[in-house]
Amino acid sequence: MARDKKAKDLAQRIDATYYRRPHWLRRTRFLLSATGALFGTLWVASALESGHHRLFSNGALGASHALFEQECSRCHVERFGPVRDGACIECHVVGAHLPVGRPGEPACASCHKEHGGRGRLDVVADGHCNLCHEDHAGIRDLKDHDDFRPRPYDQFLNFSHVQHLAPSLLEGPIDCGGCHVPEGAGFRPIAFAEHCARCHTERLDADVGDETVPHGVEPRPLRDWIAALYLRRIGKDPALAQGTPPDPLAIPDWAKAIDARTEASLKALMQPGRGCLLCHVATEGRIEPPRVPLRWLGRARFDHKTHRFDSCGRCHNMSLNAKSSDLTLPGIATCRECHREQGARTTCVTCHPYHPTGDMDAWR
Amino acid sequence: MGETAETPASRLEGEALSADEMLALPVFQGCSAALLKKNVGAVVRRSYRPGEILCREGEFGSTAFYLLEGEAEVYIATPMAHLEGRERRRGLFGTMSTFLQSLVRRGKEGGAGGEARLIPIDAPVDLSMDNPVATLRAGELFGEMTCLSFYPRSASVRAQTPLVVLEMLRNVLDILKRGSKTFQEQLLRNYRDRALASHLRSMPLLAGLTEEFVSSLRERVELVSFEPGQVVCKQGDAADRLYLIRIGFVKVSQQSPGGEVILQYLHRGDFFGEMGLLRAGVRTATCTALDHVELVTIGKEDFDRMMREFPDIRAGMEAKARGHAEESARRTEEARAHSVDDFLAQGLMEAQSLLLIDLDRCTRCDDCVRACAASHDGVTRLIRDGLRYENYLVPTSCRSCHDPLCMIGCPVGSIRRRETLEIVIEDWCIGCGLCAKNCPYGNINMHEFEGGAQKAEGKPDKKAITCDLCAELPEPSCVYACPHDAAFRIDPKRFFREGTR
Amino acid sequence: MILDRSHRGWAAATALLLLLSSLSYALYVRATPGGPSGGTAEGIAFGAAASACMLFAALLGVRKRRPHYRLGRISGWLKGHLWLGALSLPLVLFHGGFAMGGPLTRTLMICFLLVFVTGIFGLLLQQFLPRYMTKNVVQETVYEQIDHVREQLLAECVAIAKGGAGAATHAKSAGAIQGRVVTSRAAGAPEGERSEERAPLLRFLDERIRPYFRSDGARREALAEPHRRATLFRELVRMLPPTLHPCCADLEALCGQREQLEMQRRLHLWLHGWLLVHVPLSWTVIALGILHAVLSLSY
Repeated sequence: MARDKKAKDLAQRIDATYYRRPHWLRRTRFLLSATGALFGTLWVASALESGHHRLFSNGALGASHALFEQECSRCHVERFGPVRDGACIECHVVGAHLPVGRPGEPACASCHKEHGGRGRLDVVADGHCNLCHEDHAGIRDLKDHDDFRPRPYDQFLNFSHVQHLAPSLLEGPIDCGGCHVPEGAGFRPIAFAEHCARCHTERLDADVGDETVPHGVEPRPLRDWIAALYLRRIGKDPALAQGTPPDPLAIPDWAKAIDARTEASLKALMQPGRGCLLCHVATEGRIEPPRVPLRWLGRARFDHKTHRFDSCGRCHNMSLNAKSSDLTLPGIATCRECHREQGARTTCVTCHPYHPTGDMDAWR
Repeated sequence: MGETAETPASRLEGEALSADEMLALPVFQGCSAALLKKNVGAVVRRSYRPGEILCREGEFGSTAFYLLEGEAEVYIATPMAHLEGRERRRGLFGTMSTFLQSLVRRGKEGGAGGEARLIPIDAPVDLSMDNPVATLRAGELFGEMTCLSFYPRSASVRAQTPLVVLEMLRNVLDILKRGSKTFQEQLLRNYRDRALASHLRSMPLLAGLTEEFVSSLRERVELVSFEPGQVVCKQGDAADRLYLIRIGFVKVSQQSPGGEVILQYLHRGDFFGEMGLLRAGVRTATCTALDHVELVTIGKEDFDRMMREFPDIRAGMEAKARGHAEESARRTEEARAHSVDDFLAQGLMEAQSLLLIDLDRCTRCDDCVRACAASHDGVTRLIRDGLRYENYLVPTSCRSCHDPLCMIGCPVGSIRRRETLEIVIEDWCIGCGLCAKNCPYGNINMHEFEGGAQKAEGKPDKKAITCDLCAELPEPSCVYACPHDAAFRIDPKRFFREGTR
Repeated sequence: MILDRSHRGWAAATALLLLLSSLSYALYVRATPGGPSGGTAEGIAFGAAASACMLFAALLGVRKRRPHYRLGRISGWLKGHLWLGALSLPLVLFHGGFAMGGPLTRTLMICFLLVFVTGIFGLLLQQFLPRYMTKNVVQETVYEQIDHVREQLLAECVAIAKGGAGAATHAKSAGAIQGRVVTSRAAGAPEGERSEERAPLLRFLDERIRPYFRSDGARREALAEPHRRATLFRELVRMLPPTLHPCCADLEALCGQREQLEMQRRLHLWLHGWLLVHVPLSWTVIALGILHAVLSLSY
């Protein structure tokens, strides 16, 4: 009863034109493909139309540029070309690294890479520096960095921090901030009138009265001021003119006496270790104006504002400064306490900015 | 083909003739009156007005028409065209598409014999492919094979002038053939006058025969008939004549150690027997009549004369003989080397080339079907269903059987094998569907197509299509297009021997 | 496609290309102070290479439109699709420096990763699902014709139930895989059968079989579950005279075939469903990728 069925019966079940009517799987696939490609294109086109160009940005802009994230043309001035320096210097005025006339300054965008997220744009990786400064390419960490070599300045000043920080001072111990007043990245220059005059009042002889010698005047005016002082005092107390009868008519003797007293006072002022020479240095009878540098490191920039600790003594060991020539600039070891791996930044530009800033000397 | 029971007058329309009336007609001279009396009603006289259609190609029938008066036009209405599954695209795109397609498609013309081909039909005359129209006159018989062996009508017949015909069933035709000498002579004469020359010259081998030679043959040919199953000539017998087939199908086979090997099937217009005449006078194959076959014979002397007078033809025949000898030697060798095993049940070993799809790799994506359709004018020959062998699917795709059953019975001889393995269905297929019915595996399918002039009774025109192994391309398209290397064509003997591809 | 020895060439070439590109990426990262970025020369080169790989992968779909054109075997194209497509992932990561970028590139990356993942998923399915289907769905037919064949099966059920004693025929495949494909011819009711004998059969047909053979019937009906089906048919057999028992066997076999069709449908959807994500998204990636390339280069 059951006979073996031939392949013919199986094949004849099939309608031989079935393949001409695409099945829903194929149709759906095609429709979805067309739709997907179309939607994608429309999405991009609508973004172009509506100016929502942030869509095409390949990364967020740095925090400082986020303001005009939608205004691509601010930086991308020309199409199909790189961002040129002209766009940057519209807002940023920065100094050149290389001396004027020496070619080879790289483009702004080659080190300051945008579209890298909301970070800082001024933190440039060491690799950029090492492209030219190949000899420093081995410096990865402060460990590899040479110690500081501050220039040996002659400050023409006798000053001992040890003395001034001693607790047994007349007026009590002096706080660092009492003289070193923060201003900007550094401090206000030390001025006698603000910072020293409170304690250091130079007086003349008692018999002249407790007059404070003015500070910072040229020799000639000082002499005149002392002479005038004496003149006033002898006028009040003629006995000061040393036994000369107080004859109002005998004026020339007073002049001699005033001159003599003035000379004596001046000489007393110039005694080593006293008077002017307590702090100042004199060369051939002339007081040298002190030359205290504002910056001690020529090729680096240190910002005290960002390094405000509880006490200055954290970095500066002033117990070593018994005289001016004792430098208390901390060594690189001190910096390394914080500026190390997994600590504060150790990139080149942290201390050695590429663009010389206002308070720096231009690079040589 | 079983015989249908004949019933008298109620089956055939027309004027039934009495026995006396029949005997009054010249064609029935010499027939036994008693037999004719028994078959009253099995032959009728019919009249047609000009333009009326007697029969249409592709229809099934059981009668033959003998023209008494008038003229009829015999023609094939089905367009001589490829089956196309899609519209030709117009315009620039269409031109480009056509151009690109021509880079990969085979040319429109079939292989050998691109010249005007003859379409052999069931009539005294054959139709030329360029203009498939001919005229039938009084005294000619049409539909012999339909009547004797119930093949479909090979062509359409339409009356051109007022027409009077005798329509007869098989019994009457047998009576005529056996009883009426004039009838047989008439058949032979018709064949000689109208078909012999064109048959001879339609063979490329014999195309060089001159008109005088053919004329000289005309009076010297004889007609012989065979019943179904009768052997015409046996392998090894002495060869003494050349045969031309007037009607019927002949099977050509050889005995080999592995069994009987079918070489080919021949139909009207083909000839055989020349090999034996060339080589040592011994038949190289056995020829058997498959149905009612009538052969026209050319004797040995005439054959020798032909060989002498036309050395080119002789050279061609010798070359063909050599080719055949090599082929049969190869087959014998193959048959000897492999034993027939039990996969015959599925007919796989019948095949000379099997298309297999490895189902462990196939993702059922249908790219093979699409590729087949794309390289065949949008009509696929591959259907991805069928029985399996192990993990391989044997889909419906021509197997190039050793015994091509599909080729038996084509009324117009359009399904044939050319020089190589593949089966081809030529453009003049009339869509009768016989080959599709014959193929045991369902590898031949009928497809409807537009553009046929014959839209009779709402039936759409059809043509048969089959896989042609993409013979004109380096690799079959289905195999080439499979993304997963799952489809492949292989000789089954090699496949079963090696167990794998 | 099954990953087998024929992939050796492609795999080796891809591995080599991956090695070379990784090396060049490593060198590029070292040499670039700011880190890798898509806009550097090397970044653009990686991007172009990745795009080339992706475009070739997308062209597979175009190639398949004209499968018979002799432009290289489609299996070769598929191998290229797999391996070059796989290579495009590391290349695109090298291009962006492993960063996602802005909204457009982020979307692009997500879509691309989805395409990649679904592709791997599909490839994995293709390693074992075809074999699973071959073993478990013996009466498989053409997927697009499942409905058509199912209707024919139902017609056979109706013919068996109403008409013939069932000149049922079975198809047998040769070799290790056996299967029964049942069809029948309505040969007419046998002699001496009373119409009421058929009543349970016809009731069964209407109440159970017809609903089961509906397109959505395979999930809810009792006949869907093999044990339940066996039980139901056993009960049916008990209600019928012996002459109709072969009918029941044939009907049961036909129900089994319907179950197989449903199994085939489900497995086919698994085998091809992932393409509904993979292909559309890949065209989205191509479209957005082209726009991304043009826009990024223009800025």
